[in-house]
Parts: sequence; structure tokens; C-alpha cells
Amino acid sequence: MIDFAKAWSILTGKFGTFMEGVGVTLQLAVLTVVLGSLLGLVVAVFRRTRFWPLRILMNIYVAFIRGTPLLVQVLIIVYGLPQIGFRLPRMTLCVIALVINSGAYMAELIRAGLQSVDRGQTEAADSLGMSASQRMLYVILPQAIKVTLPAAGNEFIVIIKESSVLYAVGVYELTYQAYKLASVNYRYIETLLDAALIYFVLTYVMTKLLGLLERRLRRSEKTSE
Amino acid sequence: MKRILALALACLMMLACVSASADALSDLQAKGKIRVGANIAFPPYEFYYLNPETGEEEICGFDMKLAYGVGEELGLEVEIVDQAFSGLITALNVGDVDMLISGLAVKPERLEVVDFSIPYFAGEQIMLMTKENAEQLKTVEDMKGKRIGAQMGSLQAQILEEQFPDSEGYLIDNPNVLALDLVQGNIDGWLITDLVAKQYMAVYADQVELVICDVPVVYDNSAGIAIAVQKGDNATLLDALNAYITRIKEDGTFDSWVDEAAAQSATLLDTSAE
Repeated sequence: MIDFAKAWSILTGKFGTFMEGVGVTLQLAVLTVVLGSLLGLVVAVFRRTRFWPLRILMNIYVAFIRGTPLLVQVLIIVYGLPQIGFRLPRMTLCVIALVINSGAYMAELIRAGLQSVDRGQTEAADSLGMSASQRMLYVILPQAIKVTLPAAGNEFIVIIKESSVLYAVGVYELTYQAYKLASVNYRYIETLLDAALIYFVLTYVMTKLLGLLERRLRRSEKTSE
Repeated sequence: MKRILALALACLMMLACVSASADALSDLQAKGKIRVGANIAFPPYEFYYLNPETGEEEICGFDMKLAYGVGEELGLEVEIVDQAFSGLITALNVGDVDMLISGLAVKPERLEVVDFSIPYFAGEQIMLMTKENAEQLKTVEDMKGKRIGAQMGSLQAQILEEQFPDSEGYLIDNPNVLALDLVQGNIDGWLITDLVAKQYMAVYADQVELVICDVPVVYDNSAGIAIAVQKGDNATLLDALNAYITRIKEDGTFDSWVDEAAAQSATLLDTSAE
């Protein structure tokens, strides 16, 4: 039976343990979304170059990452890289795995952002005599990023949730902490419900904050028009 | 909405009744089958074994021999359910499995939630290290700030917490992965049962030399490992299990299972190395 009183006493009694996990989870999410966005940006821009081998390489990368489960990617990176000589700290390996994963999704989001920039902008930049890289850097990209920003925030929320697979490789994030508590208190459902509640609070608050940011961005749109 | 809630409550209550029915042994006999929970990644206790004669995968190990033996003794069919170690006790208590035979050490906390048979085996607890580490790390003090691995929810995890409070604990469900962590240097030491340690020492012999280190591991081994069953009206079931365990220990059957399992898991290493 699910004992809600017990769930509550576990939550309050082991709050510190849960919060340790939250700290790691947020740290992972922040690092991943920042580095993943940069990677995604590079990939998205490379996918538009005229140099076709690069374009194909980037397409393969995005297709492969989107077509394989995150857990498998994590296991390959975390146990595979050390095997071929890259003995990095576990956290670093996990961030690498998450960034590689998130980068592919961000590349897709940024591509959509780039495509949303009106063709007239390209023509205008051309008529001013800008080079292709200038056009990208000063005209297209700033507008695309603004469109993509809310989606990047959404990716942040996704990573908060998806980083839970890292419990499988012993990263002390929220799910790991909950799982560890449950393995000694034998109250699986109650302890995991606590973890679920904490995840929900995290993502709900983030969603609300993102809503505010989005509204703020839209306001600037109106005044600039 | 109210009606749905009432229905859900009724279902919950029915579940509660089912799990608290009469005598455990007669329940099992009525079903004609026992579901035995185990974490099959713990050679030579329990492991998957590719039989070279039939070419088929079998579940082997002395725990599993015991499981099938118990089935035979009680006249019941045996179904082995492979589960993460840390989830075994919960699986037992929600009625997903009928008993646990998975190198489960008798611990006070576990006695609060399940009942145990008499112990059928007692392994030694040790810390496994690379030879390189073992030359430097010799005392509990040396392990300060070092990373020690153990299986989540295990006796070793408890030892880790109690005896090495200043070390960083690294808990994972899967012993195979812990072995990899040790070999790759992600953990400095691994708390494990001696029999299992010997398996992994052999597995990785060609890559790195693993040794049982000098760091003392203190634990109460008087309890040993035993079969766990759900709490409740289980006296006749436990009597039957205890009588069976006493018999196979006395007539040497159990020892022969241990030897057989050790030999099998040794060949398992040979074939996996090829």
C-alpha cells in the first residue's frame, strides 16, 4: 500500500539527501543546456554550409543521437571513453554525454529558428554587401537565437528530467539519492513519489519562469516594430 | 469522481486482503508454483550460464540449485525472477515473488520487513583493489576521501556506510558495472564477498591485477545468508525450508552445489574471454 504519511516523513526526514541530489541535477542541467546550446548552434550553422562533407557529417550526428536512447549513449560515453584512454572524472563524462545528446536536439531547434528568419533579411544583408559569415553572424543568428531562446529553456526542463538516467552510472543526482534511500528503507513507492514531487516542483517553477521570459521577449518585439 | 475513488479504494482493500491470507505454505501449494526473486549477476551464487553442451542459456549457481531444490522438496514448480538487487525485498513484500534466494544476508533492518530461514551459507566480506592501489591503501584511515564501491542495498553498502564514513560511497545495482568501475579507476576499492571477488579477479586477470587488500572489513558474519519470505503466517513454510536446509547441509549436497557452481562460473570466464 502507498503510505502517504510515510512518504511525507521520508521527505522531511531526508530532505538534505534529496537536496544534495537536486543540487547535482541542477548543476548537470545548467552545464548541459549552456554547452549543449553552443554545440547545437555550431552544428546548426554547419548544417547550412556549402561544404557538403561537413553538412553530411552533422546530419549523421543529429540523426544518430535522435535515433538512439539516452541511456545507451550515456553508457557508451561513460564506460567507453575511459576504455579508449580518456580517463576523466565521472561527472565530466556524464556532462559530455548529456551535451552530445542535447546538442543534437538543440541543433534541430536552432535550425527551426534559422529557418524562421525571413528571406528578406538575407536579401537585405546581401544588398548591403555583407559576406556570408557577416550575414549569418550579425543578421540571421541574433534573430534566430531570440526565437530559439524559449525552446532552449524547454530543453533545460527536459534535461532536469532526463538526467535521471544517470542514476544508472552512479551520479549522485536526485533519482540516485532517492533510489539509494529506498534501498535501505524498503519504501520504494513512497521514496520515489517524493523524488517525483521534487522533480515536479522543479520543472513547474521553471516552466512558469520561462513563461515570464517569453512574455518579456514578446514585449520587446512589439516595441521594436 | 467519487465513485471512481470508492472503486479504487475497494480495489486497494481487496489487494490488502489477498496479501494477508492464510498459511503461506498452503497458499503456495494451491498455486502449484513458487516465484523466486534473485539478482542474477553474482557468480557463483547466481549467474547466467551458456551450457556448452546444449548451447542454451541456463540460470546457474548454488542459490539457484537451492531454489530448484526447495521447489522439488515442496512439490512445486519454480520460476526464477531476475530483478535488481536493491528492489528484491520490495518485490517480495508486494507479492511479486514468493521468496528471495539471492545471497541475501540476514540483517536487523531486513528482519523488520521480512522473515528469514536459517542461514545456508556465510561468505567473507573483503575489499577488492588493483594491486597498485593496494600497495598504498592499507587501513581505514587510508581510505579517507577515497571512493569505495558497493552494490546498492547490500550488506556491503551497509558496511561502507558504517565503517567508512569518511570515504565517498559509490552504489550501483549491477556488480558487473562495479567491476568495470574498479578496473577503470573510477572507484578505489570495492566491498564484495570473497567468492564473487575471486570471479572478477579471474575475469580481469589479463588487464589488471586485482587483489584482496589489507584494509580491514569488519562485519558480523554469524548471521550468514538465508532465504527470505514475506512476514505473516509463514511458520509451516519456514519449518519446511529450515528442515530442508539442515538436511542438504548435513549430507553434503549443498557443498557439492557450491563446488559445481564455482567450476561452472570458472568455465564461464573461459568462454567469455575467447
